[in-house]
Amino acid sequence: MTRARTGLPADPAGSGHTGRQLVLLKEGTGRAGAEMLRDATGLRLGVSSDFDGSVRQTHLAPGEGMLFERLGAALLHGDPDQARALANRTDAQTLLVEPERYVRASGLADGPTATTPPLADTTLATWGLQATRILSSRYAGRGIRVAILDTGVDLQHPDFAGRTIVSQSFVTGLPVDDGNGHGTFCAGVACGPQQPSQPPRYGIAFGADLYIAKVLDDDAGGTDGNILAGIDWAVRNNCAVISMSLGSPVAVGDSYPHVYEQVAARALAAGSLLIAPAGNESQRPDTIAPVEHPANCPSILAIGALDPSFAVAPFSNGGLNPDGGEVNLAAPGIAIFSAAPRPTLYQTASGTSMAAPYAAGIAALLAEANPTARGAALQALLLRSFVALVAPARDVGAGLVQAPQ
Amino acid sequence: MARSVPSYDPGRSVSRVNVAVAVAEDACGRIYEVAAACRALGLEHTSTLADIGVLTGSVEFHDLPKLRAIPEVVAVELEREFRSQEFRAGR
Repeated sequence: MTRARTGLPADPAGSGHTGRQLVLLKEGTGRAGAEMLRDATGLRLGVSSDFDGSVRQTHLAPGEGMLFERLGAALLHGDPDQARALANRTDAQTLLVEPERYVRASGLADGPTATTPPLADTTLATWGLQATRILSSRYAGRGIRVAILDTGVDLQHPDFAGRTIVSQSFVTGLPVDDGNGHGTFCAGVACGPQQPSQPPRYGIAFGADLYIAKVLDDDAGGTDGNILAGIDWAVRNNCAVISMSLGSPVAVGDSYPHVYEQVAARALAAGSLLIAPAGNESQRPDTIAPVEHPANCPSILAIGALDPSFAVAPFSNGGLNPDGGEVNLAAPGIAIFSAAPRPTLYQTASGTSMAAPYAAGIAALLAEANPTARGAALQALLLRSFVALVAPARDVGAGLVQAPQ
Repeated sequence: MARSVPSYDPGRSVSRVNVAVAVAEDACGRIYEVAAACRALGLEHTSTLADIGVLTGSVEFHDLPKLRAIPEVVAVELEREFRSQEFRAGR
């Protein structure tokens, strides 16, 4: 077994596959998975925890494999027959076997370029988690309170089972249950589980405590009264991060709303960071609409949306107005996979609504990594957590938001 | 272009608008006194959001300048409506 060597298998056929196999094991399999895989494939198998955290890039000779015990996954370098034998087993410990793909997210230290190939969802993780380097992060937002101001959440969704969830509806006559799906989706991206009931992993801050404020009705509409009440509730509950995937269009030349700016500044002073989407009013390349309200407040972070090729989403608004109307960061916002209310359980959606919870989830990781950084200090940390993009700052701000490692 | 909400109430004046009132930082500790001053000038007060220093309610449109003239009030804005920001083609 060779540790921490550089170099991946060549891809002479240009298939996009490394020739190795990824195996997803049932949750809780633990080290027992190593023995099962040895028996099933005849490969020489190591366990990553035996290498004292020093496995950074896994060079496996033919006939070798590595079990990543905490992830519940293994990487095998066997021949195709061995992989097929494993895939055909009816063993309840094996959930999925698929070819390992070349992915480029781990090479984003210098930022993607115009020739960087697009990312795709894999069995292990959505393209968005790959692009933002979530999988390799040591942090999970443990003990951090994240407020999701939205259409509520499906409180009985299996992927939120066992989580600390505090909820409150601010929509008259409606319970916090999500009759729309938007809130469950956004909560899933920001705080979904490490091991969902069905792969791939799609959520970021799986250790965070969820504070769910229903401020939008089941048609995903709402008013200031509900939203301000939700912010007040989240600040009162000491939520370090408040994610609100909502907005209202503004015109070029419009100033930011002064009431919301006062509110956001007070929230920051109280230790709560507000994050909102840039908005979906653009029709690129012909029309670029300005960052909408309330993301256009100087004290609220505005998040633009990217596609899997790291290009600006056609609908994503741009920083046309001064004094808060800038895009601060960009995040994945097209073909995003996340949770949906039962019985659907999962769905794929696009929008700057989907991008904002990426920044919120990563803010929760930063809050765990930096226990004294709250409010403006956490905002400053988040604004330094990015890789540069080819796209103009008008559209993506500093760049693509990245998880702390 | 930000839209106020003309919610229909047959018993209510058509010129009545929903508002959010931001209270000055140094007056947040006296927000209930500020709320009383606003009510005296026509605010139909619906909630006090003490942690963020905001009052919400409704007021006759022509009374807006009176609220804005209160020294402890830093901003009065008409209520907007919001949408989730999921993209749907042709929306």
